[in-house]
Amino acid sequence: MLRLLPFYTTETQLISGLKRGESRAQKVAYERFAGKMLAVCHRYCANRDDAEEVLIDGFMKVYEKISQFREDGSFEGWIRRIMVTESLMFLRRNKAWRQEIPLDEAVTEPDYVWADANLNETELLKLINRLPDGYRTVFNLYAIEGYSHAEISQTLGISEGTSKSQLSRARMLLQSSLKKLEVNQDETRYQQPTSQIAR
Amino acid sequence: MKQDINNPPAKSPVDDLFAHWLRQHRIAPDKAGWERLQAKMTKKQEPSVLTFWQNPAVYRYAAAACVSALLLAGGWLLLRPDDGVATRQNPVAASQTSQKAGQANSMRNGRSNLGNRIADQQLTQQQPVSQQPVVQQPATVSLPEQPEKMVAQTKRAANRPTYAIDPIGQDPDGQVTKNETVPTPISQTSVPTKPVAEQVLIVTIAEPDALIEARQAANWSESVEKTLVVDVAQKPTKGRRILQQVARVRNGDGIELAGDADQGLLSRAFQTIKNKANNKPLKQ
Repeated sequence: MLRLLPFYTTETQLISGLKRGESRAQKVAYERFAGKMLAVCHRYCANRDDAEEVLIDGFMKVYEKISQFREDGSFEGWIRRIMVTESLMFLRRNKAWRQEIPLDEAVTEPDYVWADANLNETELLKLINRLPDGYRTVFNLYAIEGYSHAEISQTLGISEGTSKSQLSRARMLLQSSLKKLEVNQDETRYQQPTSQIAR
Repeated sequence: MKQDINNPPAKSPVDDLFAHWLRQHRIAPDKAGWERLQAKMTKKQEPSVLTFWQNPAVYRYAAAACVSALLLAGGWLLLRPDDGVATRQNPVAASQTSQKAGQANSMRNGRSNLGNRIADQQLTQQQPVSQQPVVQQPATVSLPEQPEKMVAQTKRAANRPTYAIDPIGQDPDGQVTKNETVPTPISQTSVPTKPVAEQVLIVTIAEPDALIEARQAANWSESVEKTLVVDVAQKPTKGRRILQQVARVRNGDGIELAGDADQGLLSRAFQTIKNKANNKPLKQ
């Protein structure tokens, strides 16, 4: 006997299935959003394994709290917020995320046009993951998620001034990393013909 | 969660670069991720989804219920009243039940036994029926002369040619067809329109008092003889007794009670007599 499996083609169907606690709907939601949400978690947690752990916890929370989702907003945005909150909770549990690195030298502005053309998501994610946890968190919340300093201060339990300073330091570190990449790229470009001649 | 529209913060080109590339970034999750998630969910749900048959406390109650049910069943089997005794004590009830069973069987047989019933009816009309209470005759007990005659007459009546009324053999006119073997057919008016089973009289023969007394005396002497024969040392063991009870049940007799009062008294009386008889010469 054939058994009809629901496909959950629309988001409303999927949400209804999740609200009914259907296992298949849960799997479909996982398959549909796990990739994006893992990227979100990995931006906050430098370690990939930690990010996977946070992703699983986040999805469990999604399935538990699905009844609280009001269908007037974006479902993906709602899941993303849950993932961000889970990541922050993980960082708070495991690490002292308020770290400061002294920046002595003044950083020159990198070539953003070059960076946009030559760098991909993986390389940019590596640069973010090299940041200290505090800087990374504030930069992610402000620059990518679009939180305000007031919201960041409320979420992280820090002052707005701290949030602003951490953001500016994060920006400087990223600029310096981008500049280094740019310089290295130029050096390799200039060194290539010499190496070819030497051969 | 978005920034204030009235007071938009100055966006740095670094922010734009990272937001542009990483906002919609995807990373393929681990293949075993879903299984891990499922395992974690089941682990979390386990205590809440504990069904009643998984509850160890229920096992105790179930075991207690089973044991009590077994005890009740065993007790009922051992202590239930003996059917054989009941029939011996109240033979009228037994005969009535057997007669009812016979009636039910005859009803089931339908019109095939009609001839026999008619013969019985004729016999009952010829023979005077006693008004005394009904006593069933055991097959082995010899009957007095009058009942023997009645039985013989009943047999003769049963052997007479029967008048079969076959509903299939009715003519279209409604006249009953006759069986050719029957020499003298019953007229149509003599055949009752009502079901014949309702009109059958139950003939029971009263047993003479003398015969009852004689049988009781014979039974008593037999039981005394049995108790004399049975040796006290060869008293059946528990297992043997259970086997005997099983054999009795299989034969259709009731279970003999363990503390049968008559047997116990007789055996005790016999034992005391025997002991006295054995002790006397020793003393002398």
